[in-house]
Amino acid sequence: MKNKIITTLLLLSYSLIAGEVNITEELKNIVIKENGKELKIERIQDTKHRLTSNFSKTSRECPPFCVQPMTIGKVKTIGEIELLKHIEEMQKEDSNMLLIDTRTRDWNSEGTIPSSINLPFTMLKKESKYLKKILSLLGAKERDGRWNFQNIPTLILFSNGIWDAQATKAIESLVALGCPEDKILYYRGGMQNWNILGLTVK
Amino acid sequence: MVLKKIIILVFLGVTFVNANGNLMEGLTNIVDKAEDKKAEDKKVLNYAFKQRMRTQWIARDILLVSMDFDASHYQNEAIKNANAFNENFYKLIESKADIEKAEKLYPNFPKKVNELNITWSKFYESVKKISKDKKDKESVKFIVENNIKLLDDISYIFTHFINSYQSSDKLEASMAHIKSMLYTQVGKPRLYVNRMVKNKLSLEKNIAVKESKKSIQEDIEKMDQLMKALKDGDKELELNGTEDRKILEKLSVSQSLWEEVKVLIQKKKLKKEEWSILIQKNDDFIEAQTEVVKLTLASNDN
Repeated sequence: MKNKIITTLLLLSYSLIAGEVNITEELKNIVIKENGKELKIERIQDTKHRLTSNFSKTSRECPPFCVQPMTIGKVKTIGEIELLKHIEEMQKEDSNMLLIDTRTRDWNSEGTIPSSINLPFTMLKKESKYLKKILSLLGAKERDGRWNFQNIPTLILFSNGIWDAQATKAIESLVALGCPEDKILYYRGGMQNWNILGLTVK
Repeated sequence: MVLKKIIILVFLGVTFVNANGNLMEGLTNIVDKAEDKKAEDKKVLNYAFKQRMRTQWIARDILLVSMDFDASHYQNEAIKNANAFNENFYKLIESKADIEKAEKLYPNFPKKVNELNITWSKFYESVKKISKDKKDKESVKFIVENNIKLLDDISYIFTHFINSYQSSDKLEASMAHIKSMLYTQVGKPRLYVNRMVKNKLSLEKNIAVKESKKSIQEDIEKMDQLMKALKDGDKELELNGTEDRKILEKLSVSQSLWEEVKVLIQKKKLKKEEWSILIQKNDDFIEAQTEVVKLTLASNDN
């Protein structure tokens, strides 16, 4: 009888631990401020949850939706843990980082990563009529037709993920304009990985 | 001293938050402005998009009037659709910037718009006349003989407008192409059904018998292929199909209405009450498929 009770208690405690869907063993969630309100970034807690959205698809036409390289030039590629750390850092007053969703608005409006800003890759192209305004706002300075990116924040760029070139194109455009590669971080997993992990979408 | 430090730190913090907030706000404003322009462009395309369906709808209603089939109702319907066509058409041709944009790629574009303008003016006049006098045979004849030309002309404008809006960016153009194929195809069943019913009416009135029969047969085949393609995908039509539950539900409503329409269209001769059913099912189909169009435009199911 005593053994049965111990076994039941053990199983119960195990199931309680097993029921939690944490980000890492040490990290359950992060809390950020979005539009003056607190927002918790965590994983969906329902262990039976499955994706039914666009991100459950395995196959898309390529081109345009082709598999992206792991690295773009010398730009550092990051994963979810690093991204979450940066999102947490972005909450600090002295942070100098910007998380950019490079997808066109129709994709972005279906859900994005909290604390990100939408800046479609097309607007970062050399021919874009908005480019000057955007770069100036970011803190870049133009002199003799060349841009100096020294004072811009570190830019973390993402798009739909491993099958989407929108972030790749945005990075290529920035680098072509003279942005140092160490001012850019590439979250290659993008919305695909963010969704597959059940992380909070805004 | 400590208090002073705290005040300075708080001030610096607020300044930073404001600076960061300003940056985010500034960037968002720029993107919003660019998106507003895109939305306007999309509206222009939508104007052209609906016009194809209206050409056949107007012709169908004019034939119903000429057969004295609930004439006053269809006189009103015809003029209502003609007014809508006219309003949208002038929005399109008064937009000089859009025409110039298309002209850069297609030098003949303004000439085609002028041609369409002439055909449409006569067409519109005929509809106006019939809306006042249901026995105006000349006007009926003009509409019967010219509705397909009007449809072809508006289709030309529509296709070339879409092409002129294509982005110079290869990736964006490629992504937009997938969507424009879907948007173009998802609206087409409305055109096909309107055209089939109109041709069925032409047969009833012994007008262009051979052409009408041929067109009906072709449209039935196109409809069967397209309705299946919207659901399951089709390489030839460049459609991927959909898994969106809401779209699938609405598509199944359209599909069952299409099956009912098809049975009646394929019947050799229709009784008066069957005509009433066919006209009603035609209208129900337009309504149902318009729901599919709306859901498709709102979805991002690539």
